[in-house]
Amino acid sequence: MKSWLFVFLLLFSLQAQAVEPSSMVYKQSLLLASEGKIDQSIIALQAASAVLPQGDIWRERMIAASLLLRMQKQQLTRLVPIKHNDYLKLVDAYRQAHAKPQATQTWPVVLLASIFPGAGHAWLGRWHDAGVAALFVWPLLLLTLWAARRKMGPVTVFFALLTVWLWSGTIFSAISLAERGSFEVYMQWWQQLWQASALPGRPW
Amino acid sequence: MVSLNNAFKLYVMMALLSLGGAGVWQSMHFPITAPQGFMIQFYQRVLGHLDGRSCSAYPVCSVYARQALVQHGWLWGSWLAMDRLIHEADDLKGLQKRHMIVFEGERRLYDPLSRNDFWLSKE
Repeated sequence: MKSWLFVFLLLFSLQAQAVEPSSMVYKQSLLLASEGKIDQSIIALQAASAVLPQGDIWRERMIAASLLLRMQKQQLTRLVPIKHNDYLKLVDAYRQAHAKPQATQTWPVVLLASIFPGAGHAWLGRWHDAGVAALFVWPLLLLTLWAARRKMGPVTVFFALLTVWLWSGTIFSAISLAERGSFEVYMQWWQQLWQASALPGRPW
Repeated sequence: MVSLNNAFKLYVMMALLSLGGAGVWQSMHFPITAPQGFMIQFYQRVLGHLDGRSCSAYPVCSVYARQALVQHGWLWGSWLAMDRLIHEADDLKGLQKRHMIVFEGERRLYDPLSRNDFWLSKE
């Protein structure tokens, strides 16, 4: 009885040794991706998958994970279909069944924020932010116009420079929020895509 | 005419002030002579204490501003700091519930610099 148990344990440990390096590489790669090192993660997954034999489950997982990470890196909504990979088939099925994320157009935000301080934020539906942005610019803008009307020379220039800096800052903020909004919508969609793939672990 | 005794006292006082100044300088992330360094230090050591309220975001706005200035320079850094002050208004009005964390017993908006400056380095 003891000898059977010993053989079983030996076989079990050998199998564990064979699987361990692949799963460790996979886990480490996802950890890298979660730290924002997407490129390093993709390289590690591709290199490891290249040395694993055809049909190995970890090879399939690594290929699927590297493709999904590349997709996220480039913010793509389409994936190169690879045959004989069940994980990618699941991804494709999910992708076709669900709406793709829509990116916010930046140009109307830039245009509105440039014409009227705070309007860019209002366009994004951020009304409180629009109020703060307007408060940043309007007092100094009025002060500049008042100084210009009174022909105050250097004082006008000083106020004008401050106004330009603040106004540019509010335009920058509106662009930043549009970009952030698009990115976060994309990331939510992509995370659902990852979960639909049934790959183990999460790179976030 | 300044007496020798008074001149010596003045000399010692200036030496001590210089030593104190050097100590404060060492603890600063920007030299106080740099405009951004002066403004942030002035806010963190004087205005922040007078205001009394704590920032509702993590990292707090002055730390965020310092990180932005270090990483992106004066112009972009100041705009990123301005953006933080602007977008905090709506982020805290419940639009960003999934970004809330509990820090030191208080609910705060988790809003690191990387969340807002990633698009500046986008390819």
